[in-house]
Amino acid sequence: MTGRAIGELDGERLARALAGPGIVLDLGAIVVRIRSHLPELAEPLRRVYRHQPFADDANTFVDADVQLTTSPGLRGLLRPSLRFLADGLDPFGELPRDMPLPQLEWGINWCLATMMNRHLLLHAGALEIQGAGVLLMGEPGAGKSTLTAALALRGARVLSDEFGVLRLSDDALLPVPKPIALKNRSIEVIASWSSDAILGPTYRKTHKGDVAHLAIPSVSVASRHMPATVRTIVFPRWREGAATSLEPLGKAEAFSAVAFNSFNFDTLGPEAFDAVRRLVVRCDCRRLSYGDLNEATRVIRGVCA
Amino acid sequence: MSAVGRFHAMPATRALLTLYADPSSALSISPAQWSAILGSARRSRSIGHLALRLAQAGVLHDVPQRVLEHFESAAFVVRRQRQRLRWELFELADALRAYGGPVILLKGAAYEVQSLPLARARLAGDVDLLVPRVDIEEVERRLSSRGWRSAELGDYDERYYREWSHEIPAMMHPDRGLEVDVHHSIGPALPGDSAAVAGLVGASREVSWQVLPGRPIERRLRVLQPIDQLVHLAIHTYGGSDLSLRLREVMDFDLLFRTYCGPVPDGLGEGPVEATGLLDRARELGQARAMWWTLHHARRWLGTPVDSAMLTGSGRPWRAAVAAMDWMSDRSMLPGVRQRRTSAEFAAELALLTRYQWQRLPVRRLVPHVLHKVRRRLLGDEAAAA
Repeated sequence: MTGRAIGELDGERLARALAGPGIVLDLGAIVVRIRSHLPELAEPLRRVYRHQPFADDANTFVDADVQLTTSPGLRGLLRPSLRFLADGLDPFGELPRDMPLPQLEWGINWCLATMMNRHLLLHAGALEIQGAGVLLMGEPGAGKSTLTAALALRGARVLSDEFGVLRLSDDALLPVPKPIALKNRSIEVIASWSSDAILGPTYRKTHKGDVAHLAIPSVSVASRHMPATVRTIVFPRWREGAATSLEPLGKAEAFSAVAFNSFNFDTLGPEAFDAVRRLVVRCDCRRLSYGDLNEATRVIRGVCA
Repeated sequence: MSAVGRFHAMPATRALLTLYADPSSALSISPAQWSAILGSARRSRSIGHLALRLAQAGVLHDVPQRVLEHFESAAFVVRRQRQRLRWELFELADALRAYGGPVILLKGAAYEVQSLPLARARLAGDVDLLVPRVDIEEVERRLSSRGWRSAELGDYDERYYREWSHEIPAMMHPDRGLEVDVHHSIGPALPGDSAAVAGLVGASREVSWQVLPGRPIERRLRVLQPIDQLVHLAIHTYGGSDLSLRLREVMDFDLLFRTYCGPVPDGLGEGPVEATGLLDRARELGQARAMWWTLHHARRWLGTPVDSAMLTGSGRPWRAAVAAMDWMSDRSMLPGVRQRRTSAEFAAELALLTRYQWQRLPVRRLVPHVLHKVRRRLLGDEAAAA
């Protein structure tokens, strides 16, 4: 798929394509067709997917055909809301009317989680720094997305935010370079981090707080079919004013942390167990405590050098 | 290979059914068509059924890599669910060790302990057990004492279940995620203490299975005899209220029919059931209509190798009734892609749901039941219970 990038389309043409046959986005590990008659989706989509090539060819294979639409019938008139449909299935029901981009992004994540069970799906930010793959793992609020965004804006290749897709056959990490979802305070932090940061609109009071999406830099989009080899796993924890430390983490502890942070460890069973074991045995596993983003990115880059 | 019949369907659904009926056509499917087929299979929860058909025809690994990955992903999910199911069955067998009566597994649980090909295709959501009506309280008590809990129901729902349904409220063990449904009959039309149910129980057979290789062989659980498994599945396929799952149920029937009624895969003979006897056995159990329609839908949509003579003999519904039912079934049971249904689809669905309720409850029960539901919807649960 070597089409033009979405950012080169004018908003009106994009809105027309979305309302008609849809646009096909090859996001690396997953290919989706997106359709929507909501005119307000086009502009934010154009902004945060600006480097992403698209196709409007009807004869390509797509993993999921997704649609963002309004609720039908009388109910939709009385209480306007959105629906996310994947191949006609409606996994979420009624969604808030005023946040089309976040709902679309969460919807595509749902597709990844339900359709990609032949890979180990890690809840992780995934990057490549000087040829070495790095996974950032930890519970929500630990600073994964903030660090992923900050490193991406300092030249690291982004493989994914949220989903680290590990292929079981060769332990390769497959890119899914979707926009990075920043939450609450990290929106402002990243906006002022680099003049290259291109952020979509901020959606207030979603179920995850305020959310804004950072466009993936063009190099990461262009290399979305090049897997990476994971060398380092970092478990970050952000605390106000904390000193920066990057301590080694024991393999047993790293194993349970990686297993705990995978979406489908239970589904894959023995294959997941073996894949996580191979991963932690091979990787340098570290616990990162930080309060200052600049220092955190410096030590992560240092450990990869 | 018998061809599928003429029916009305969305293009994606037609592509799915055409491939299902003739798996060898997998080699000439375009990339866009594959997307449509996978989408349609996902909507009807039949991706595992399609994969099994392709595997049995020896073409599963000839499909494009990207498509194969979807089948493999679904297979991992099914494998995990089968593991949960076996664990639940192991616990059930243990909890009912001291109970003297028969415990018959139905549907997914029965396919699992018999290691039928169908167990590789479907995702079992619950465990269905059949026990004699007189023993139902004892079975419930034994399960309760081993930690299974019933869903909390209001008095009305509790009474509805016990007096009018053919099962007791679902039970679940808090440590595990599978619902256990204890039935005393195989369908609403059969009273639990009838001779028909006694006949089913009498003809049931013991199964030997192991929860894991190397573990002791379990013999506490039974299954219906093969022909009765087909009759029971036909009752479900014909009588269920969830129209959107109907295609998957017809596929269940097709796969079970091919396992039991067809030539066995190694070419050394036939399956244990003579297809021509199906309608007779169903008639003995008062379920001829369910069997006729299920055979009809399976043949028409999926090309199930049902001899046409079976469907033209005595017991065939009026030609106009068949045409009307076909029209309604195509529009309400085959997966669509539109968000807004056409009025024809709406009318078809309404008609079939009305028929479903009509068959389930006598009118003198149906009217108060509907009024109760409406009142509860309008006033909230507590006011309606008062």
